[in-house]
Amino acid sequence: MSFDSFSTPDPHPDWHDLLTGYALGNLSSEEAATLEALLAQRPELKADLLAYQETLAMVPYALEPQPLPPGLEQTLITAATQSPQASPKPSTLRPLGSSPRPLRKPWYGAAMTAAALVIALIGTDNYQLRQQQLTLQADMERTQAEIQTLQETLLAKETLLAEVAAKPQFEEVVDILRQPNALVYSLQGTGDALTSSGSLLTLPNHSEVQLVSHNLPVLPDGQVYRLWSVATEASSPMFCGQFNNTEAGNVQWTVPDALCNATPVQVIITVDAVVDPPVPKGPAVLESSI
Amino acid sequence: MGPIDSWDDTALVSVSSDADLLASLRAGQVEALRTLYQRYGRLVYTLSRRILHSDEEAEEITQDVFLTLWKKDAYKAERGSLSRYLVVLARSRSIDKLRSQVAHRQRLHKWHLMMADHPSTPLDIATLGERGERTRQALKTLSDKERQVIHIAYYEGLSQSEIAQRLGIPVGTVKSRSRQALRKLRQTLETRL
Repeated sequence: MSFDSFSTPDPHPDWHDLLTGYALGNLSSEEAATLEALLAQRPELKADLLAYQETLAMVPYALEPQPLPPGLEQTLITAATQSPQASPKPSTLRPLGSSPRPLRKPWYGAAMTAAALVIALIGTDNYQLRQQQLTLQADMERTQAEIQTLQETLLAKETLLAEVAAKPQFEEVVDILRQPNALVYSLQGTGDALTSSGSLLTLPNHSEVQLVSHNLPVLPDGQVYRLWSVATEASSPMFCGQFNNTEAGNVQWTVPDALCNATPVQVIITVDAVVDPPVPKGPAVLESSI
Repeated sequence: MGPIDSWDDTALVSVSSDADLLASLRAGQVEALRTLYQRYGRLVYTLSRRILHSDEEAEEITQDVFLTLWKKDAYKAERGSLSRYLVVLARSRSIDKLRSQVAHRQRLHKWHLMMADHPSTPLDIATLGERGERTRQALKTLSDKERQVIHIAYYEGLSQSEIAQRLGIPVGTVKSRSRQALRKLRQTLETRL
């Protein structure tokens, strides 16, 4: 689609701004909600969104191409043949043209036989050893990634434990954290609440959530915090209850919909007037990263 | 000493479309993976190396990206080109790795020291090679400030506020400048098609 081909009136004065912001990953939550509504109304704009994403993906083409490491292609192909998608039992395959084991010379003396055996072992097993090493390396990397994820979860829980130890409802929080399937969302302040932070705790299939916050002010009468759950990057924020904070920065409430606790990609907390309808409108104060 | 000219190693090897190669890949043909690696490996490797400033780590990311393509049937043609899928995956994994390295800011920037000598031939310069020149020209149409913000956002994985702090400008300016730059890039690249 040509950039100059748009003859229809602009559906939103800032729509290029929203589309480019989405491609760059720098939309605010309000802008994301506006864009989502806009795309629902004008689905043909998804082609423009794709065009901006493709444009951004062209940026690295401007780099000076670098030569690939000489052995990488074969390492990749060997690793691929070891993967579940490969033809069966690659370890039994021998490279075409490879020699049979050179152990067939009985006229060699004992010393020569021993030497040949060593050379044979080194030479012929090297291929299999390399493959085994690659498989082990891939297994180790997967395990390390899992360990890292577990460590991060543990760290988040430990940090939270330290934060809540002196707060009311400490035991409820600890009870949740003791559950192996507890979900902890780290929240960062945004907009006018840059110094605020917090952690949201939920348990799958439970309707209660806990917020432990730091520097999140208690709101005056007439205003509430609202929690929004974003199920996927393309979903609209879903209303997940409202609350006011306490001086201690520890509050618990019941979510109105079981889907609120179904591992959303992001949670957002906004400030709204009590009388506002439950649609995403007020400014965000805390957000988890996607 | 000079870098090579082309992104594409397959000019002599294959004229199969990405779609054909992906179909073969899904049927378990490892040669299709080899051809796709020869077509896009250099792009993935160069991008990862630009972000991580390390040959070894770029090699790891490159292998990881292509093994992911091989093992997981995650690429969906309706969501964009294969080239973009690979670029996005490589960038995302490289930036994750960069962020996980606490001391990455202290690392030596070896980028300019690692240029390897490699002969180029006219046959190297294929369609993918032309993309490089076209994109370089398009980036030149941006102002220095626009180009700077795109480069920092793209290759360094900094948040908007970190970019704002680095450049000493408001976050709003970072956003508007980068969005305006992307808009201009699209316009220029499409005009040159």
